[in-house]
Amino acid sequence: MLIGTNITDWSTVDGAYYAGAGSELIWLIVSIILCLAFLVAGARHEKAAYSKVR
Amino acid sequence: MEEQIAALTAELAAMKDSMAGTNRTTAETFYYLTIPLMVLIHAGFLSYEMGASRAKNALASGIKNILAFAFIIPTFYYAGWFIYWAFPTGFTMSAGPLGTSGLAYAIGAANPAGSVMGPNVADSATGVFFGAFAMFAATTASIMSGSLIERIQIVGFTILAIVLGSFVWILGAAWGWHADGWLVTQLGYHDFGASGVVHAIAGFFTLGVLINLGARVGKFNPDGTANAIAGHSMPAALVGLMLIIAGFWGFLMGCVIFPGEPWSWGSGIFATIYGTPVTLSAMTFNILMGFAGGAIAAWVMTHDPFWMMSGALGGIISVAGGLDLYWPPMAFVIAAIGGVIMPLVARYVEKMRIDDAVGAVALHGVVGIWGVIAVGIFASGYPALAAEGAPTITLYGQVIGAAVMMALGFIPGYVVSLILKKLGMLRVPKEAELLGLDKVKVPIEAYPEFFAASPAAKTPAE
Repeated sequence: MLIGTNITDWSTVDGAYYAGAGSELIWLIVSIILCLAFLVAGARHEKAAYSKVR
Repeated sequence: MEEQIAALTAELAAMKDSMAGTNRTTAETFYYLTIPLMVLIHAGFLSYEMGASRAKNALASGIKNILAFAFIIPTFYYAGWFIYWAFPTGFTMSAGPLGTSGLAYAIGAANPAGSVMGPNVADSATGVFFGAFAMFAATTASIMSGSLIERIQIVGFTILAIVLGSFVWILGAAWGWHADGWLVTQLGYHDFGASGVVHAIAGFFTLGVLINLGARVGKFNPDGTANAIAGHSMPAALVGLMLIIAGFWGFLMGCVIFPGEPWSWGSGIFATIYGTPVTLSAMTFNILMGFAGGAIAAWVMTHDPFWMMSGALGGIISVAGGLDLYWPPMAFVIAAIGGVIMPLVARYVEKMRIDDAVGAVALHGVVGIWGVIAVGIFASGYPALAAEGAPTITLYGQVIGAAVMMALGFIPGYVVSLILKKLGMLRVPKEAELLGLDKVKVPIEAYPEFFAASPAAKTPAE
């Protein structure tokens, strides 16, 4: 499970809190992969657009 | 009696808690508010670049600008904030004299995979500091963006923006805009408002890219003379420049350290990023004088409202490095010199057959360098840090710092753009450039009622 929390009472929270199971690293990796995928998708769209003009 | 003392002690403790809470939330709000003010810079760059583009390229220029801003945020989160805290002493990632730098410190303070970079009821500072720095980062990318309009590929540009905004400038900031930075601790480098670490680095990075990108079709005639390629809306460009200047107040507001917090330099007065004293009053005198000196000098030099507004910006950039130190009439003179330098350099850049569409190399690069050197000429002798025995500001230190900023900007800009060129990701095909980038890759039109049927004006070389 990548989302969810064990916090049921805000008075017990005195520092960082995280809405996810496992490590924060998982979401870091997922978001980096997404950024790279967006760049690849953008490059493919651009390439196709230039091919049409040619 | 003892009961009364205990009651007073408890009341005092409660008051101290309350005051600490007020100070903490005020500091948090202070930096939070710098962010929307700095978003004005990006609203300005958006308007400015679209206005400076021909109508056939207006929206493509806008897309480029929006994407740079958007991609800087996550990439600065992944790398930029960590670089700032890890590298002040150089590439060794060792701790500096103050102990707020180095690999171990960065892992604790800026680890993108750690809990420090997220919601935390005990930390009201990290997120707003990160946000302010991310806005500085996005500003560097926007500085470059305008120069490259009308012929750069969007993804190629985005990659350059990420390299500049999330890696390159922040390394310069670690070296020269951090109390543990080696330029500061060893040479007394002083750059309060980031003339060098933001403007010069971004301007010289842009120069490196422009060399590989080449000029727009029709910019230069075979005999080497240049044609003016007018943007489609000078009013939009001028309003954009004024918005950038409004946003600069937020940018410079983000350059001070709020007092009274555990991470502050002290209480009762703002401090610079180096821990030396500064007041918003001193900054206000000099920002306004900088605006005035630059705008008026550019008017005398060019009589052109575009360059006047650029001159106003250049005036502020000229005095930014020493906003905390200058006497206001002195700031006016320094800014006026910047306003004179800027159009002269822009003409020289054009003479070298480099097509800098908005003059960023002159305005940010060379005037940024002037701003760094001016601190050495006009404000030498002040201690560069608050600590006893700190190095003093010298012309020598500022000149070395300026050279570092130029190299740190130019080399990565040239190398990365050369790689993109080899990969075919830098420049759009000539057919696309002639047709107009909006028609090629943007699904909507900028001005369907006005321009759809009429072709764009051509220069003699086209």
